[in-house]
Amino acid sequence: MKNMNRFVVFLVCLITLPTAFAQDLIVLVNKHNPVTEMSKQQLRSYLLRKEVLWANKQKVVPIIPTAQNAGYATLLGQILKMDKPTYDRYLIEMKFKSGLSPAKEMEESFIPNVVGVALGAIGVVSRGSWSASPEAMVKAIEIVE
Amino acid sequence: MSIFFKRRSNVWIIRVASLGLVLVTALFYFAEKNSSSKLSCLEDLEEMTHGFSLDLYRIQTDLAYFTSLTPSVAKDKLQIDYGSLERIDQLKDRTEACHGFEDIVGNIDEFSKLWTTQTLPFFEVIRELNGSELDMKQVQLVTEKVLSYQLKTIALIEVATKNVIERFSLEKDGLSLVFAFFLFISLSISWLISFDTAVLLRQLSEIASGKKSSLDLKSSSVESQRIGTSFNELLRRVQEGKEFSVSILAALNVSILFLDTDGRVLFSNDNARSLLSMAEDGDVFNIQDIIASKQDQEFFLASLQQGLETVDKRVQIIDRAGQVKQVIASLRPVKFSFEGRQYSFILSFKDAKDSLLLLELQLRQRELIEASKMASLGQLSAGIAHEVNNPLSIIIGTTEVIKDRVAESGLTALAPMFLRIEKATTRIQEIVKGIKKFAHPSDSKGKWFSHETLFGDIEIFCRDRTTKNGVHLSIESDLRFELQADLGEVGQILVNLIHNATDAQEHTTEKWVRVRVSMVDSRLKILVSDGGAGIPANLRERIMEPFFTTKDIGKGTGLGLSISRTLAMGNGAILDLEEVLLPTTFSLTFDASRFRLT
Repeated sequence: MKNMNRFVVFLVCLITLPTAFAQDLIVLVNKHNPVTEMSKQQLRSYLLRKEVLWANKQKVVPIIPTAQNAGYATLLGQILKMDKPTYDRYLIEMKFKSGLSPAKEMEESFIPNVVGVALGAIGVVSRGSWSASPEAMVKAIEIVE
Repeated sequence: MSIFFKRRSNVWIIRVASLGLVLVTALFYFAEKNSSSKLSCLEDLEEMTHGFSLDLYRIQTDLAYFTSLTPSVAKDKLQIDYGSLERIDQLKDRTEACHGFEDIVGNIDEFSKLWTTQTLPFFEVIRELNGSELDMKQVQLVTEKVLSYQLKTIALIEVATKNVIERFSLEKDGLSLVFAFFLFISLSISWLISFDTAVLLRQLSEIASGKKSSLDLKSSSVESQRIGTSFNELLRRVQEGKEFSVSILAALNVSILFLDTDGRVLFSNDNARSLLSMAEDGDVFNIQDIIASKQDQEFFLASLQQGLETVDKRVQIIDRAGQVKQVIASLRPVKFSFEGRQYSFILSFKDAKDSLLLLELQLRQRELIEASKMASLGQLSAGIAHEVNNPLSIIIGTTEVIKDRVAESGLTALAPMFLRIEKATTRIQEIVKGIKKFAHPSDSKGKWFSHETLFGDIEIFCRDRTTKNGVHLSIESDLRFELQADLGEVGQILVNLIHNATDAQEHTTEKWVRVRVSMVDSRLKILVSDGGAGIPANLRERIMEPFFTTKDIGKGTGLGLSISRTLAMGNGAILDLEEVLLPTTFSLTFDASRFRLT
């Protein structure tokens, strides 16, 4: 009986774990940005500067948390699908190949401010660091699978 | 200044105090240095944060201008000076170097964190976009928010830094003051200690140059006073030694000159100064100036240069008054320095008069030895004379009887034989009589006799022998005198001298003996000279010794001159060989008490 209980708990964890990770991050864009949802793949392309313009030709300004923030590791693991050394190497190659600057890393709590300033900004923060409000200059968009 | 240490100084107290002072001074030195280092660090922080503060204000101004533009006009990217934005790493490095200021360091860390995670990326975003890509109102709002927070942080840092700098400046000044104070004390003590040394050195220098005779350290430390006392004692002993040496040199009855190798006279004792008629202080001169003979000068200079010793050389010197004197000089090499002068030779002079007295003394000593020999010889001779005289009397008596009997018997042919026996026995009698006279000098020395008597007797005794040997005997006397002596003994002396003179001319062609009389220094001299070859110089000193003879074996006993000398002494006269080598001259000298002119 005891072993049965343990097995059930394991199954629940196994099923809910990816969703739980996905739900830990919130994607923010400027409130003037018409986008309301995007796929994980699109998000990945914006953050890795594979896509540099929005559909309305606005310049994409990706902003991510610093390595000291909780959302950084989740972002790398769940969205970008690479570890930190791989990500760092990718950034160096990108700079040399295309001359593009990488996604700005800044304090998680400050990201909404910057996203509110730049019309084409897209920021990723952990869920606990932002809460929606009517006067906020940013909006959270839905990530669809 | 040395009063500070006067009579209560102690080496160990000074050492411990000095060590303590050095340690305390070093402590304050390092504290002050540490404080200076921190202060310098803080001042750097202040300067850097102030730089950031200025940058922030400038950015604020730039952004205010930028955000005031309408989006259509603000097509250009934001132009602001980002030079200082990169300096955050320098600020971090400098902050790590400043230890012990957690509040300041914490604020700077916070400032740095804000700067790197908010301000810098925010401005980078703005820099990459133009006005149309930004929500200018939001830019203004966020910028104000960011800058106000950063400025607030940096203001806190600046205030805290200024406070700490102020505190540390005071602390540093205090430490510097204390350090300077202890340094001053240390230097003062060093100076005080070295003051005694300086006084000591100065006084030693004065003593060395002759300006001072002893150390006077009464006002110095106890240790210095002890040094002074010991040194003065040492000086006293040296002075005593010097006075002792000088007094010995002064007391010596010998003239001493200290010379260098060039013959320069560097020192002279009292006796030398007196001999050379020099002033007390003395003038510097060379020995060439005082030695009369050029040959002697060269001899002494050569001896000086070759380091040779000279013993008892008779030389003539000229004193500083120009008077010539006879001296006996001895030169001895030495090696010593005194009062800065290198002495190489000691030249000593003995007055020749003193030397003659010494010779006289030596002569008397020799005569005493001879007298002792004579005494023994006299006793022996007396015994022989006594033993010979008795059988001789029998021989003479018996011969007389036989002679009479033979005369009575008419054997006249035997008469010459008896005459020879008579002569021989008479000769033996005379010899025995002479030996007895030698052993027992006559007491008849108080009688006066004239020169005619003396010379008449001599001529009678000697004429036969001199004529027989072809020797011309001349007796000359311009003086008429009488002698108070034993006529027989004086005659025996002169006869002996004439006989010796006759024998000495055996192989000479011009044979002569001359007896003459002269007065020298109130003394009467009877001189006997001959035409012989002379007495060799090496034999002259031994000629008066008993049993010494130059005659062939069997011809002389070697007693003649020695007996004559003894007889002369017994009559208050001196028998001597004159210095002149030729002609050989013996003198018999009577002093004024033993003769009178008539």
